[in-house]
Amino acid sequence: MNATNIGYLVQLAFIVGAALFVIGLHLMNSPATARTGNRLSAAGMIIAVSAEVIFVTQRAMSASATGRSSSAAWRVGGGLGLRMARTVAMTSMPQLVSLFNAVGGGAAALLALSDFMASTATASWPAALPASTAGGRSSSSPTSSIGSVTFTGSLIASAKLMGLIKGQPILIPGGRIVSWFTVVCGLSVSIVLILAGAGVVTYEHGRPLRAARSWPWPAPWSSAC
Amino acid sequence: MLAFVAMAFAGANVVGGYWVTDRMLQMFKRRPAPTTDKAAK
Repeated sequence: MNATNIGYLVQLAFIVGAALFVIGLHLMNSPATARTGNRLSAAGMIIAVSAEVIFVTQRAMSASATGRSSSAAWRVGGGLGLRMARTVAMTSMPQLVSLFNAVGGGAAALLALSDFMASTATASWPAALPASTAGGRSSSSPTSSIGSVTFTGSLIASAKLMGLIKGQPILIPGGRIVSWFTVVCGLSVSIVLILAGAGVVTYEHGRPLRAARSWPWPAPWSSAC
Repeated sequence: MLAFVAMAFAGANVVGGYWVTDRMLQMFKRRPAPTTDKAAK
């Protein structure tokens, strides 16, 4: 089977998975059918994930370490999650759910980071970024911020529920100023990265930011980028 | 390396999440006809 056919099959598997998610969510509306709904949506997830793992393994034939390591990651993480979910006491469920929420955010942030690093790894950077870079960055910038906030926030929540740290609010002196400073820094870095991805500005280490070319800039989605 | 950790995280989240939901929903099972019990009294 050639790569194109596998690509089509993977797309088909994603559609089937998405349909199962929707049906599953609908069944979750009523307590009587909720369990069926959850299992249906789990089946959709299994289909989608296996399709993706097969796709990656096929595509990375030359360097099949990627495929092998991705399925290994799934087995390690999935096995760990399964064991925690099976052994946890019903009364300490909130902690576990909070922990799962944390690793979900962490996964999103790490993926965005690794995506970004892959986009800067091209040899001729920043001269020749692909046109998709701006789009990729405008999604990966908020993903990394939201993901990291979810990760750290949920870890704190989980630790509080486990009684590892005290329940009262943790106040850092000047914390509000630090938060706002972080927000402003994150936003400005995101904007610069997106503009650089679109080829509007370039930056070099230790040099001030400058416009990549004079007005009018090509639209980020045009192939001229 | 980053992607490996990310996928392990995601795997734990997904598998654990579904399993935990299933366990919680299991507790919603109908008790074997409590109404007949009441009627017997």
